[in-house]
This record gives sequence, C-alpha cells and structure tokens, in this order.
Amino acid sequence: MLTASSIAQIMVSGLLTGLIYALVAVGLSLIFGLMNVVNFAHGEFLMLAMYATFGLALGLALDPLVAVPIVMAALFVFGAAVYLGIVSYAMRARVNSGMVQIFSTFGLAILLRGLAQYFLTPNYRSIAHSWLGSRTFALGPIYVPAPQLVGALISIAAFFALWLLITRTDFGKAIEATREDADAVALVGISKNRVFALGWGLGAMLVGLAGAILASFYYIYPNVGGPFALIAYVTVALGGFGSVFGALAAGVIVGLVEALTAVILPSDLKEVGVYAVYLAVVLFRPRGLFGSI
Amino acid sequence: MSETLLELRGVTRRFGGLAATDDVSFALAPGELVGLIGPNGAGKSTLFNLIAGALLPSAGTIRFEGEDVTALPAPARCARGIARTFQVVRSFDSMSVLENVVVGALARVANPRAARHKAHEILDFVELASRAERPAGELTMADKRRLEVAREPRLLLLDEVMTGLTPSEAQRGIDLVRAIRKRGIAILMVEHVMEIVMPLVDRAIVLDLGRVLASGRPDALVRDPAVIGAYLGQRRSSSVGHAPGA
Amino acid sequence: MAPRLSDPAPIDAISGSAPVGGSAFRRRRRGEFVAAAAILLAAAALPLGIDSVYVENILVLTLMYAALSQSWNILCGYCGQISLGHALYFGIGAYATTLLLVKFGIPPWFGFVAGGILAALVALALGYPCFRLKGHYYTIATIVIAEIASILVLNWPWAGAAMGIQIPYAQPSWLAFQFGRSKIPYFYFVLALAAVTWLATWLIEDSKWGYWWRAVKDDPDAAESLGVVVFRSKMAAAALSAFFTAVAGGFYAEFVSYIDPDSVMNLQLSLLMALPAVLGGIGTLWGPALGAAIIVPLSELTRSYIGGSGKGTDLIVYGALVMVIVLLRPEGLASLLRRRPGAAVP
Repeated sequence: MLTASSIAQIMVSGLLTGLIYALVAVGLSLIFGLMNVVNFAHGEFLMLAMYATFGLALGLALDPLVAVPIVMAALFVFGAAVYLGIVSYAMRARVNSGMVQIFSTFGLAILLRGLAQYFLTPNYRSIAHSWLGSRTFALGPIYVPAPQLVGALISIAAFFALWLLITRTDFGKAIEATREDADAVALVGISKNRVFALGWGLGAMLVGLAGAILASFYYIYPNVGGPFALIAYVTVALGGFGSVFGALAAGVIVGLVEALTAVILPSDLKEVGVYAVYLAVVLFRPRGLFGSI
Repeated sequence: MSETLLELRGVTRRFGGLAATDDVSFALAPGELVGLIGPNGAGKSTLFNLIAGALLPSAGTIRFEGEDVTALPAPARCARGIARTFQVVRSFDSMSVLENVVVGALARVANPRAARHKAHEILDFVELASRAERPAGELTMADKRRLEVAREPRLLLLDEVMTGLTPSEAQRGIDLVRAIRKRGIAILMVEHVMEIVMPLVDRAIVLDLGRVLASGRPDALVRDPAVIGAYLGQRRSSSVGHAPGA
Repeated sequence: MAPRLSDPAPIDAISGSAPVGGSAFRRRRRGEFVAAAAILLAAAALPLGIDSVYVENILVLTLMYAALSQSWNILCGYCGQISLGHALYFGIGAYATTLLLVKFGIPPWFGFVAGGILAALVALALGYPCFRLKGHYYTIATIVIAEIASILVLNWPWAGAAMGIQIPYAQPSWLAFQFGRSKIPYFYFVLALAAVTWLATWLIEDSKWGYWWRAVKDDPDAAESLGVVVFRSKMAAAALSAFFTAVAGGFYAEFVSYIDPDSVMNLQLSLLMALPAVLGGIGTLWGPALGAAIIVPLSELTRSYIGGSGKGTDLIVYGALVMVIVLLRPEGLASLLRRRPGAAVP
C-alpha cells in the first residue's frame, strides 16, 4: 500500500544507497579518466575490502568504523601494486592492446574470486556486532538505519575531500595534467608512472572505503563484487567516464531508480530498471551525463 | 571520359557560427596534380575531409566523375575511387604489408585472389615488395607513407605526406608522387612544405580563412600579392618567408 | 589502363619466407586444410581406444569449448570486438532447444538451428546500439546485457525460472538426440561442430570479410577510409559468432539434460569461451582449439588433485592463465608452434 510516507521512505532509502553506489563507482571513473583503462577487477577490490573489514572485526574485534582507515590504507597499497605489477605492463602491449588491457584486469578479477572461494569458502559472512549495527534514526515517519546513513554521510565527505584534492593540491593538478597529456608531463618533471600508480591507489582506496562501509550491513561472499561491479559500470557510464561529479549524480540516480523499480516490479527484478537506464544512456548519449568522450 | 574528375560548387561547412569552409568552388581534371595550400587555419583540413567524405558539407555540391557524391559517406566515396591518407600515418599493424594493401584492393576487386595479385603489383610499384611479408607495424615511417599510397584510386588525396621526412626520403616521396601521377591518378595534396609542393604541382589552390584566395600555376601564385599577404599576415608560419621566385 | 601483372616477388632473402599470393600461399592454405583433416580423422578414431566415461566426458567438453571458442574468436579475435557476455547466446541456444522440445515436442535438431538463428537475430538487434561503442565500452555493454538476460530468465516461470528445465528421458535415437548412457554419439556431434567452426574460420581467413574484419580490429577509421563498411562488418561477425555459439548451447542442453540460468548463462561461461582463444592465440586459426585442448583437461586435473571448496580452483587456474598469457605472450601459445609465412606474427 503506497502512502506518501512510504514513498518518502523508499526515496530516502534509495538516496542513501545511491550515495554509497556513487562512492563505489568514483574510483573506477577516476582511474578511467586518468588513463583510459577500465579496471575490470573493481568489484573484486570491493570484495577484498569487505573481507578485510570482516577479518578485522573477527580477529581484532575492531568496529568497522575504526577499521575504515586501515582498510583504506591497505587498498591504496594494493591498488598501486596492481598498477605497477600488472597494468603498467598491460599498457605497454603494442599487439592486441585492447584485448590485453581488458583481460589483464579481468583475469585478475577471476583470480581474486577464485582465491577468495578457495581460502575463504563461498559461505556468506556478516559482521554480527558493530557500533552502528542495529541503530536506526527516525526522521519523522521515516526510519533510517544508522549504517546506511553514516555511510552516505561518509560518502559525501569523501566526495568533498576528493574535490578538494583535485582542485586545491599539487597532486590534483598533476592528475589533471597527466590526464590531459600523459606524455608531455615528463617535460614539467611529473613522472607519469608515479601519477598513474598513485591514481590507482586513490581509486582503490575510495572503493576500499565503500567496502568497509558496506561490510557493516551487507553480506560478504566471494562473488559479491559481481553485482556491485555492474552497478559501478552502469553508474560510471551514466555519469560519464572520467567525471567525478558525474559519478556522484549518477550514483544517486541509480539508487533512486533501483528503489523505485523495487516498488513496481518484484524485488528480484529491481536491477532491471537500472540496466534499462544504462541501455537508454548507451543508445542516446553514449558519453553519459557529464562525460567528455 | 569526362573532362572534370572532381568538381566542387559552393561547398561550405559551418561549425556553429563559424564557416571553416566558405563557398569553395574548383574543379580537377583527370590526371592533374594539384596542391592545396594556405596559411595555418585556412581550412585545408576541413576541405580535405569534405572531399574525402569524413565530413559532410553544410551547403554546396561535390561531384565526382559527373556523379553527385555530396551525401555519400567515406566508404562509398572510396568505392567510387577517392582515396585519402591521414596526417598521422595509419596502418593495420597486426597484418602484413601485403595484407594491408589487399584490404584496400578488395574495395575495387571482389575476390581475394585477384586482390592479392593486384596488391603484389601495387607493392612493386611503391617499391615495398621486399617487405611484403613483414608486419606493417615494423615499417619505418617513410615506408608506412608509401604503404598508405599503395592503392589504385582515380583521385588520391594526400594529407601532408611529406612531413617528418628526411631530405632523401622526401626526394623518394616526390618521385613516387610523380610516378603515381604518371599512372593517370589525379592527386590533390595538402602541403605545408612549399619547397616541395611548388615545383611538383601543375597548379595550386590557395585557401585563406576558408575561402579560395587564388588559384593557378605556382610561379604565378608566388608573385601574387594577395597570396604573399595571406602568408606574411600569419605570425606563426612554418615554411614561407623568403622571397618569391624560389 | 590495364594493370600489368608482374611476376610474384622473388623469395625474400631477409625474411626467408615465400610471398603471399604466390603458390606458396596456396600451399600453406592446403597444408592447413590437410592438417585439420588429419587431426579430424585421428580424433574420430579416438573413441575406439577409450573406455572410460570420465575421459569421454572430458573429450566432449574439450571439443565443445573448442567450438565455442572458435565461434567467439570470429567476432572477438578477428573483428576485435571483445565480448564478455557471449553466455547470452549459449543460453539462447540452450533454452530455445529445450523449450521447443519440452513445450512443443520439436526434435532437437530443429531446435539447434532455430536457436542459432534466434541468437543471430538477437546479435544483430543488439549490434545496433552496441557497435556504436568502442573498445572497453563495448565490452562493458556485453557484460551488462548478459546479466539482464540472466535476470529475466531467472524470473520467467514459463522458462522454468530459477528451477530450470529438465529434459525428459526419451528412447535413444539420433532423432531424439538421446543415447542412453553412451557419450560416443555426443562426441561425434560436437567433433563435427568443432570441425565446422574451424572450417568457417579457415574460409574466413582468405575472404573479403576476413581482411575487412582484421582491418576493423586494427583501425576502424583507417578501414573506413579504405572502403570498409565498418558497422556492417561488425554485424556480420556478431551474427555468425552468435549462431555457432547457440548451436553449441543447444547441444549442451541435450548433453546434460538439465538447464537453468546459472549453468548456461553465467559470467564464468563467458570467460570460458574467451579463455581458450586468449591462451591459444586470439585471432588465429588454431588458437582456440589449442587453448581448449590445454584448459579443459587442465581444469579437470586441478579439480581432481587439488580439490577445494566450490569452484575456487578452476577460477584460480583460469585467472592466473589469462593474466600470464596476456602479459607475457599476448599473441598466444600458437605463435610458439609455427612462424606463419603469410600473416604477421601477432
């Protein structure tokens, strides 16, 4: 039965989820905007962050909120390592270069899933006790679970911090310069390789943050990266590859569309609305809302 | 055979409010070797792309061998005998040199066997036959340019093909252009390097600000005050600067 | 002015190989065909010496993946449009064949062809939006579309939804495409399918489409300037690839007698269609078959000896293989076997 308040509940829920989707997607968009490479293992980065958060909760009794900085740091290192160890080689291929770039990260995704299944079992995990875990806030007639709300707020803060980083710091300028002309920046003393590695670290760190947040209220399993990766692709495509603000706007849109679709269709089909949006974007505006391709 | 191979009438191309090509009309006869010159920003590239079919005109008509090709896209124009090169030389690097030529030849002959025969013959002509089996990616840039013109169109559009060549490579390039022309292929070449193009072409068309400024034999053009003015008016000019009559 | 046909250029002292277009080229082509025929005959004789159902099963799967990967190779190796959602067509074939049989009593042979044609049509319809996308944008679209299809089938009761569809037992016969407990007839069917896909690839290699597809793969803009109609080329490759993939899907449905979205429309399947080609040599004639001959037995072995929970070991092997190959030898293992005098090395 649809009342005004239940619609409001759905919209708020979709908005909060969407903000977290935006956070999941922005790392992908950043890496792409920087060097025109799609990280097909992006979902698996998220999966690793979720497992790491879970592990810290289980082994060290760390609350997910406390674990966030640790997980972010770990993912930063991991992302940079993936660039240096894998992607930088892939980008040097002169033969079948498109295929090499796609399969190098896609292969990594499969490998990571396999490792997770083998070492961590396919069982669904969840973090039983966290500080935010079972609290809800009431905003008028709307109930908002604390983890989602805090997650959404963290996401907004992260976007703001990212904006500051890109527009106000030297590193941000280096990123912009490298994005414009990766070969020319050597002339002004910027190491392209270093910027790329740091860019991957930053992108991985952002999705790591999302993973740490999601771990407190989402099931964790080896293939959890799959559905989130799809949402990330759709979000980035909708927002425009390379656009940070596009990722934010598109994430919110995707969250809302998903929530509203779940009202109209059986909840198993709620992704269909999101994918339909993706197809519409591909058909009518391939470069997305704010993209520049 | 009709007297006019290529005819442009009132061809205009606007981008927003700016006319990159403005009311351009000229004609090319079969087998003519014509240069398309002008200062930076004159609209040579745009006009080039309009003839090749990479861009469609906002107004005007383009006729090739009597047929109106204005609305035809690039592959269709290629099938009718218009071939073009690219400023940054392009080749199909995963295929051999011979296979590269076969791709183009297949637009003219239907079956691969005939196309391969033709490709061999063309490679002999551009003096790349010894490299027929090598991957195209291995060629030097000068050789890649030769590969680019390894075709048999009726009109060949050359886009600054002499750029970046050493003097001896450029000389071989000039010889090749002359040899192509001797086969009866008409050539329209966009070129910056005046020392090369002026002695080479039958006549030249000078563009400035999208319009045809002057057209005629090279020795007349270099004395034309309007032409000189257009070039000297450019603050950044790559190759013109010395006295006419060179 | 009639072109003068010059003699084929003399043997190149530097590269040591004979030129394409001359008799050496025709010799190479004949050699490939003869080699394939010999392998086919040898393979056809295999079942006579094999007694174990387990081994027969591996052989059937190997040949099926060879056929699948060969089909994938047509669109993705030769034409360069990397699809990671080909499970869609496999699923279309599997479901079309099964539904036609179970709901309408139509024999599987018609189902195979009907599934193939349906898949080709779907490929063409999807091509309209998708082939405007380049490079990884296209790849992402294939993943998303395959996922959409999977979700739709999961929620489609008439098609069995999540429960899937069981193919009921029928008296063994070629018409019913069921053979009791013997795997041999399946073996021969899929051997024929693999041979057909190989033949299609062989014919393509010396055809207008073949040259055009490779040009589109390398540089679509340059191809267009040479007269290649890029969009139509991609569509043709997609339809052909989808057709054969669906036929294999229909075969698989009959082989295992039970299908559900998870088994015939999942991402791992899409990967497994690509992997043999990537390993063996994407865009080559022998690559997919070579890759399948390595991967399928290898994954069986690792599963038997290392075990592990769920499908973890398979994925580890596949993921590691893909990465090692594309980073160290992107032209694939086939390049180790022979230096082809005709086409270029990669």
